[in-house]
Amino acid sequence: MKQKTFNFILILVGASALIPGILELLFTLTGKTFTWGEIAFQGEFMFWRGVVLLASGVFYLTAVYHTSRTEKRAQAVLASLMIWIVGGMEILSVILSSIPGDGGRWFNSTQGFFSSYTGPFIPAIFLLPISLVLVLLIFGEERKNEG
Amino acid sequence: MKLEPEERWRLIDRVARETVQYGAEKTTIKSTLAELTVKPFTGIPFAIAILYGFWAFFNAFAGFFTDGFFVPLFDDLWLPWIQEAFPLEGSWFYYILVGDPAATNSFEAFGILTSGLFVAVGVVLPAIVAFYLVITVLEDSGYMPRLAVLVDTVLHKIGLHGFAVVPMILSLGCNVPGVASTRTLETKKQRFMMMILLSIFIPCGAQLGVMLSLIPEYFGYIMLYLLAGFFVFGWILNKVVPGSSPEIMTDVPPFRIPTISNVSRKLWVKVKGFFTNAIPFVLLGVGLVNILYLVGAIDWLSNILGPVFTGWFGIPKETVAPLIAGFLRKDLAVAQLSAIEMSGFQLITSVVIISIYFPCIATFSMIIKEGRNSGGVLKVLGGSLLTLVTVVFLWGGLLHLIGMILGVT
Amino acid sequence: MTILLMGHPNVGKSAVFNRLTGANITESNYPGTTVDFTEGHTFIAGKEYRIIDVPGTFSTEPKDEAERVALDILEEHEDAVVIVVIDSTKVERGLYLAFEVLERGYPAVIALNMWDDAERQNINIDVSRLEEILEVPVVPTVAISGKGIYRLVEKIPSATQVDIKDLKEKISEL
Repeated sequence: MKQKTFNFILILVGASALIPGILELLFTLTGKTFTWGEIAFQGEFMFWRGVVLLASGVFYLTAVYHTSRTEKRAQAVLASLMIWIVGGMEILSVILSSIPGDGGRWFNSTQGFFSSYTGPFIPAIFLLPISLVLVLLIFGEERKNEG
Repeated sequence: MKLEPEERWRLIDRVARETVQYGAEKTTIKSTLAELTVKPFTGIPFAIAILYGFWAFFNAFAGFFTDGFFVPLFDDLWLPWIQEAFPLEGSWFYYILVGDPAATNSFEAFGILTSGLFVAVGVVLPAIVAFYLVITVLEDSGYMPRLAVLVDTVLHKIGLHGFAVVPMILSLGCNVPGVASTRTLETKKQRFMMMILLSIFIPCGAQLGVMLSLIPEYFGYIMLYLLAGFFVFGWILNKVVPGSSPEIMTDVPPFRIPTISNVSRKLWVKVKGFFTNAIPFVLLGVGLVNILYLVGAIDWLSNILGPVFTGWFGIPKETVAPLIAGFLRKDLAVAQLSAIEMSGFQLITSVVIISIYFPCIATFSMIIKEGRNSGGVLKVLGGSLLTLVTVVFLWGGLLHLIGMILGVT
Repeated sequence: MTILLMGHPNVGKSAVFNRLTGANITESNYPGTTVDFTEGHTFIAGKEYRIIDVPGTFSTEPKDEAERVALDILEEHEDAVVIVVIDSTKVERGLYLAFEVLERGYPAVIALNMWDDAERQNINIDVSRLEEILEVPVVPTVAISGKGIYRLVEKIPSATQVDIKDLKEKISEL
């Protein structure tokens, strides 16, 4: 992949991590929650999710300035890993909390089960696909270079 | 025949030149990634992400088992059944085993078969499984020593030297191996210092788990205050205790993907250990406290210690009973505290006191065992007790003072 | 017969131990997890061997308590065969310990563990040349996956003492 194309992707992903990260921090500090379409700025420990998202955004963006090919890519992988920690755990918690029932029943009703999977979700969830694609691209490229 | 070290190195040099070829070391993405995790600029945010992931996993996993299944199981089925079915209601026997016949949840019944079983199986078991699962994965991936190096770098930057971070991180799993690992420290001073600091200020995995499960809203404050104490008293001990504390080097292993077999084997060892060592102690702890209640010892102690508790620490005198249980298991003590009626700040204070007032029995016996190698048992025990009493009164009292200043007591 | 597993911290001694004995001690990617010794038994060519997983040590001049334990174990078992476990990416450091063991007159086998890491880092080790020079069996291993362990076991009976004086002369002539 050309450096220019890669840098363009980094800026795109970086900005889409940085902005919701800042918003999450702002909403925590002002004590407000906010839902925009399917994206929810709320929930326990939003402050820390904001910190992680913001940092990953910064890592994507500053990776643009690295001249070393490997360093640039490693930093992008690190940022993607951080998004995956936050987003992945959110998915796990949605899955696990959809199973038990309440009010005298052991398991959730079918309807309750499925309704757990309709949004809105935290911003990190929406960043999962693109960060995964980025990581796959990077490692695929490395494998190709090794021959 | 023995060689001098220089001679030995000279020969090895020759052998190596003859047999080992170092190709140009490729900097791979993986190895660069590994470096990024120890550099503060990238490493600290990554560590925050890891800790967040830890918390989130813990919440999801322990919440699933404890709130999802064990709470309804114990509260709706087991408790009413045993309250009804157990004979001799009103006798001391019933009181010790079942506890309060009118209790509506397993926390407040206080019997061995009610609260004891519930805390051991329903709360602590899921907590430690979740906890050790994450710890093991982090350990096997090679992230833990990196975290140690990162913490070490940060500590040096803020002027704190001589802390052994590896034993500290091991202690978060359980204080016993943490204390044992101080054996790898070079000087008696370091061993003595770390042994005391670890056993006083670092809560173990089981305690962390129960705190996260039962009082998550206070978890951050409690940890912050304990870690602050760790460093404040570490700094003081470093000045006061004679001897030297040289820099500690840690080897950083490469990143590896943890194998399922090793992770599950380790987890199994821990869980097995929990069933054989911890559960009996939790049940014993509940039984002991109930017996002491029955013979009036708790009331007697509460009345004697009451003024100190309410006056100096600002916590209700009912906390005496959990404090006694804490000798056996800190996780049990925290669970009992959470069932006592008191303000949030009092709960924070009493959990802090529970953590620092004395190491649990298992850790204490390990300190005695290791003390032999660290300047003699008497010296170590004497020093520990002196530090302990100072810490409990100063650090515990200070928290009360902070509460008064903030106006939350 | 007793076999001692010796090596630096975190070179995979515990993993080798598990492979040899089928035991269940925990392996960690973390230096200094084994601070006490563990013992196990195994059969090699019909003979029973006692295997001790010695705590990690950099040399036989102890600098801390864990290394002290290591030295004590070594000195207690004068007739033992030592498997020196070496991190293949840091051969020199490992050979230092191997030399010390040989100088003390112990028959030794060298396990070049973490061979996969060395390959990945483009480090080439001429195993047969190393064997030839040291006159000690040398086996590349990857203990976590079990690679090379069988060959390591085969070589144990052929471990002999090494005359350091001869070795010194031989190396000096290289």
